[in-house]
Amino acid sequence: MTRPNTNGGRAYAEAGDAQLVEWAQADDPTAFGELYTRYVQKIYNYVYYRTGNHHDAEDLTSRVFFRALGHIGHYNDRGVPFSAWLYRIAHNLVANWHRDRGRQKIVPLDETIMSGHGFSAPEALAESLEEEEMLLRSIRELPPDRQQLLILKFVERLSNAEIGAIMNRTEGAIKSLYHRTLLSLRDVLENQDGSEPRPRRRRFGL
Amino acid sequence: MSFDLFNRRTHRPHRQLAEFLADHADALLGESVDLDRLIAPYDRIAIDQVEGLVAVAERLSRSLVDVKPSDLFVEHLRQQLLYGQEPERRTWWQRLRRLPPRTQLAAGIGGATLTAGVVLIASRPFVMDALTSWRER
Repeated sequence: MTRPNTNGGRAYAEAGDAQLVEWAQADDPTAFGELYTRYVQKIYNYVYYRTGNHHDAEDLTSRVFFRALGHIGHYNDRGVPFSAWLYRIAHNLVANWHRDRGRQKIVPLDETIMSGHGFSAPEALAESLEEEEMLLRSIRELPPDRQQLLILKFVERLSNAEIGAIMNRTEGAIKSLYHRTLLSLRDVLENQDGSEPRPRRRRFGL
Repeated sequence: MSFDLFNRRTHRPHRQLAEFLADHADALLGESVDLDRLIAPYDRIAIDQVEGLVAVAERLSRSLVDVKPSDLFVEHLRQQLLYGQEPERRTWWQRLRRLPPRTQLAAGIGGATLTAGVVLIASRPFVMDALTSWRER
């Protein structure tokens, strides 16, 4: 049973993000703590897949929340939800991180990621590891906006509308970007498999 | 709904494909994927035309899984945010201590080898002197 998170009559756990932001802006640390609880894992996931290692993911996640805490007084909900604002901070910090380091690290297939699979045969596991490594390497070679889209879609499981709010694009533009991302990933993967790239069809952009 | 489907049918083919792939991704994140049912509203798309893209989407769905930060990190950061100060940037030594054990071991061996090499070079005159005096005896 979870303990109700209340203070001075405020039901933090039941409050919406906008209400929590309002309280946090009025110097209520418990409200910011509740926002932190709601989003720390999502931001960590996002940063982890963009940086490729847990150490930098922890470092950057910390910086995202410290920046959010420092700037929450300036946050103004003009159609951009708090979650989208957080993701934009994360996106900017990750972009700076890549720029400062001038590197594109490969996302490692560590135990955490592989724990989601229930393979029993070693051959199947090895094959799966190799395939996943290839896929993750291909994702890391995509432009940043496409990486961002895939992470928000498949890891964070956000709707196209929510992704659009974060990436400042329309829902239609997100669908179109997803389509183009799949096309380029398919071509890259086919080349990596050693097979001839599929001839481009004129119909349907295939 | 019917208006939505009507619009889909009048869209250009690549727009239909983008709409279909978006629906497919949403279905992947849901309970199950019935490809025939998903593709039914799109009269200008055939299954064999989307198989490659659908396969990539399925691989993405399998590979991009949720990663959980350590409970220690989450709690430590909470304490810092609510009651403490922003941590200073880590020094190179702190970063080294947080590296995986194998990397730390490799760094240790590398450092020891380098130190031994420097010591060997620095002590070479003394070693040579000792050898020469031993031979002379």
